[in-house]
Amino acid sequence: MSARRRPVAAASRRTFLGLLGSSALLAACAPSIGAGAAQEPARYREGEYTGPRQRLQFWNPFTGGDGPAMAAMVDAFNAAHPDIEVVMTSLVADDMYTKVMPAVGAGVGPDIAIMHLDQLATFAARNTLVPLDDVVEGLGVDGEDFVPAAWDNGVYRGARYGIPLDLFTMAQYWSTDALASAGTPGPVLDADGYTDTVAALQSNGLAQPFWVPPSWQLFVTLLAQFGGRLYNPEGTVAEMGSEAGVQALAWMVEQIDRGVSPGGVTDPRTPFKNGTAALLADLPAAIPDLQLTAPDLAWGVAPFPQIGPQPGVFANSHNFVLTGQSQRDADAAHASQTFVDWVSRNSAPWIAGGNTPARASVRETEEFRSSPQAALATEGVFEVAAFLPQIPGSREIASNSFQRAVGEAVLGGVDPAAALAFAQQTAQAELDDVNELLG
Amino acid sequence: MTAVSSTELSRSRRDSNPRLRRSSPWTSLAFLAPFLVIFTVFVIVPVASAVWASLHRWSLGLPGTPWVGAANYAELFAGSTVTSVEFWKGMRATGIFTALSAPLLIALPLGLAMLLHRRFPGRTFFRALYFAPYVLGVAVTGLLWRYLLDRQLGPVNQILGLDVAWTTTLPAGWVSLVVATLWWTIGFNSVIYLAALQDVPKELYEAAKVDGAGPLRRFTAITLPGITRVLQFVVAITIIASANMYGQSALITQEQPGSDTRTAIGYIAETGIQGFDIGASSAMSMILAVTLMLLSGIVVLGFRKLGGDDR
Repeated sequence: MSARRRPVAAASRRTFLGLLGSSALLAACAPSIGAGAAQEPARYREGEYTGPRQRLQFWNPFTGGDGPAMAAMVDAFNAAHPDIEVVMTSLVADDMYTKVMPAVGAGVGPDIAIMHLDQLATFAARNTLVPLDDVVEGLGVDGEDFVPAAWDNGVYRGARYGIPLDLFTMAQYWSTDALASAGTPGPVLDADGYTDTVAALQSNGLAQPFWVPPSWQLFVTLLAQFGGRLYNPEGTVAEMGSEAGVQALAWMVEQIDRGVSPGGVTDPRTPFKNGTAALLADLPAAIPDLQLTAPDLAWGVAPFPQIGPQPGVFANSHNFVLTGQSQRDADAAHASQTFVDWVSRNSAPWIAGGNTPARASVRETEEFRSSPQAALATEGVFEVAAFLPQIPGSREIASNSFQRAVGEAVLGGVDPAAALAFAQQTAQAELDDVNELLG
Repeated sequence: MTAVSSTELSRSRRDSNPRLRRSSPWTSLAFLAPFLVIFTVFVIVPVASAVWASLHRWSLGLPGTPWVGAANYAELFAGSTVTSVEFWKGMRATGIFTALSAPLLIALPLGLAMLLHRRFPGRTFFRALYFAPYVLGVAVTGLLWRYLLDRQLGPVNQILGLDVAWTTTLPAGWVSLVVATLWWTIGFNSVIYLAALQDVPKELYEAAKVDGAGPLRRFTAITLPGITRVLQFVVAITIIASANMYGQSALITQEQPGSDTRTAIGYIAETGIQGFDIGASSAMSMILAVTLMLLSGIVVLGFRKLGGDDR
């Protein structure tokens, strides 16, 4: 029996070694990770979908005050389209972005999703999204109706991946009563106005009127105002450690050093709501939150003041995207296209979410003009909006570089120049890795 | 009558044929098989695929997964790339947390268990009370402590009359993480100790008392030797649990300041799940796993040296 077994064992060992050898050979001639094998573009299909009932999955990151607004739009779409049932799932943004790729790969993810503009390259490069050039051309959506900067930024490597739903920019909020009683009614317009308002508020008994959290969106806003940028437009060189970057971050730290803000702030909205602070730098997502949780507070909202020598403001945008899963058959693809087109054209209910609709036709409605965020939707803001460039893996790079530097400087007392120098070095190494990986 | 005789028959048959019934390896294997299936599906296969992944350049969403041998490990040990620098920073954070929390999580529950082992009115209530936080999820614990420890709005600073940034500066951040973890998991180790204490024969204490041994002497001569095996288990499992800390730093300190309280697991999750680099994150997981195996081995050997292997 043992005499019989031995040759088998020897053979299997030989097989094993052979496998090892051949895998090494394979490795030698297949160094590519297959980047650049992009998805087939979505093809335009004529008219609205009719036919066998289609069930589509729609994921979005609207877990806050904006969720009900989107749910209302989906309900309206379903009511108007008996042949299509769209099922909406709202996930916390970080969770959505970790789940979407494996879920789409397994065919159990979304057909349609809303992604932040800065995430398009990440998921386009990893073949989760399909190019939409043919679809937007067929639908006659050519960007004319959209805020140009938001529209133009939806392109990665020559292909369009997103159709903007809205855009949102860094804003200032002020407590109307506190500023009025200090004799400096808002909004704050520039650096001098800021200094005066803070001084007036402090001498009026509000010791720390403007709480500064480690907000990287505030940093990006100030960076643009001091004439800097995070990366070069090609996404190959990190530039966040520039003189402008140091000035921007130093301004944030200075507010704490001067006692305008306490240190260690992580939640600036609560003191604003309860009157401990009178100024707030936040995104428009604060609008529905303030309306809901501080109904008695009188407040105003305006574009973030120009602190640096030139105007500039952090901007991002929610975009419709189609995943590879939506192209599983002609009917699903057609139904998905119908949904995106219809909701994009009928996005008026989205105003309730606090953001600015990307389409001029929706911004011209009376409903939008009477909304608080209309103050943020000026041509001046659109012109200087600093969107994050399309860089695959940008959020991971951001969290290891400038976002961390902001945290280190604002919370940890690290010198802004040192924090940003390390951030730039880290971002550069990661950019090089990404560009090498994706060729 | 017939039933009895048939049982007797079977018993005598089993006795008369021990080779077939008792020592057949298939019997034990057959009983182990159901668990083995679960163990294979949920432990062996995932570990094997992690090893496989760590030997390949695998970035989620890109079609190719070329074999790179030990390149992922070499890169991590070289310590020059961003990934490796951040990983070892995470390992250092994990090490700091483990060194701070494990001794407390081993010693304090023992004291607590000895208190709860005594007879006093309301003993069951207090046993339940100290165990209660353990049933909370990490999300609940994290949000709770994040609120309690908030510098400006949290009750901790207000009650103590302090102005400490518990969640955003060091070393206060480590204190917060350790205290929150201690509050959360102290009941688990206590319950294990309590069970062990109940196994120590009471007669030994009485005999020691008669011989004039004081409380300290009774503790070192009877209690500790009596629970050595359990102590070894608690030490090993506490080190592993502390080294796997992730939720607390993600929720309470949110890895601030900068990323100083980001643990190894935190960075592995970020690399693999958010950064989609499965190859590198699998290699990091293997390094962490092997480190923990070595530590556990040292614990086992240490207790053997102490002479705990008496049973």
